[in-house]
Amino acid sequence: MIEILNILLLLFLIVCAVGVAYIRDLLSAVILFSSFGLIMAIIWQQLSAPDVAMVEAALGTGVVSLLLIAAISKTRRTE
Amino acid sequence: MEDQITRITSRLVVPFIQVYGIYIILHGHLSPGGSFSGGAIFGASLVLVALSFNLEAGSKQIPHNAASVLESGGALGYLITGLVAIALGGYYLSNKAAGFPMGEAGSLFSAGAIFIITLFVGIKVASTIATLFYYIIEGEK
Amino acid sequence: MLYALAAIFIIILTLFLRFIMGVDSRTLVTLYLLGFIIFLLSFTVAEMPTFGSLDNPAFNEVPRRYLEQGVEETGAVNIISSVIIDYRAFDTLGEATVLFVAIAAVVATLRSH
Repeated sequence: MIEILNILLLLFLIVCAVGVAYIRDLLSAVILFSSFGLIMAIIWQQLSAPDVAMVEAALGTGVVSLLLIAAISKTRRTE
Repeated sequence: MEDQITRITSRLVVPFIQVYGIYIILHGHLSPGGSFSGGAIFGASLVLVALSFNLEAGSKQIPHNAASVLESGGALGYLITGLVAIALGGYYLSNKAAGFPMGEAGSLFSAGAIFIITLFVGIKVASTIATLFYYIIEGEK
Repeated sequence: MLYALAAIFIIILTLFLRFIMGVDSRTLVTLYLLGFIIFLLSFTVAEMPTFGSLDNPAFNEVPRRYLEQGVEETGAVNIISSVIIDYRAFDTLGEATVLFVAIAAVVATLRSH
């Protein structure tokens, strides 16, 4: 049961990573990247590293996407 | 952007996030987490204030002067804790060999230098994240 | 036998892609290069030690010492904290210095006055 969950999470991770590379709209790419960080946090928790999961959930999901959105608001939205 | 819902929600939620961040920093030697995670959570709460209210209300929480003092103070505190260990007769950044008060393992005030260093690095990381966001969002006017 | 079969399969696949599907040779080279890299990476992952196994080469006397005497030597119940702030405190000092340099660069670049 846990293996199925892990495989599903890894599949979502790959889909998010490929989507970030493919998508043209930068704001959508940032949102996909933050969902990548959220899934990565759950995977760290599954690998029994709760402290890394905490850092990933706070930094990789929240702060990094905020900084990227701030940078987009200073520049253009499309590539 | 003036939105009533985000304002009231963040006014309710921000104190709990800050208490959680301080809890993680203070219990760094007892439970998962530590300086970097707790500081990141505390800094994110400071950013949330600026997002849901406006930039002035956020900057009032941590002014630029206070931010630079906290930055340098965190890094300096780390270095000075290492030097204190030398003065007490240990190696640089040593903990038990220098004779920091160890306390009872498992209680809040234990582990000597680990507790102090975690506190300093936590303050530093929190102010780093908040300052980074404020400087980027202010930009060149 | 297996290698010969694989070689024949690859040759037939190449001819099929090149002459029937009409893929140009540049794309074909790229595809084969990517396939080779994927093969190498999967082979490496398959050869890696099992996650969390006791026979891992990383599980030698150093983590054993941390796990057995960490609480007594550092006073911290959280072993990760005792490693990164006591045993490897100099490493964490470098990490904090990197953060400090990053924020100093941002402030020096973006300060408005």
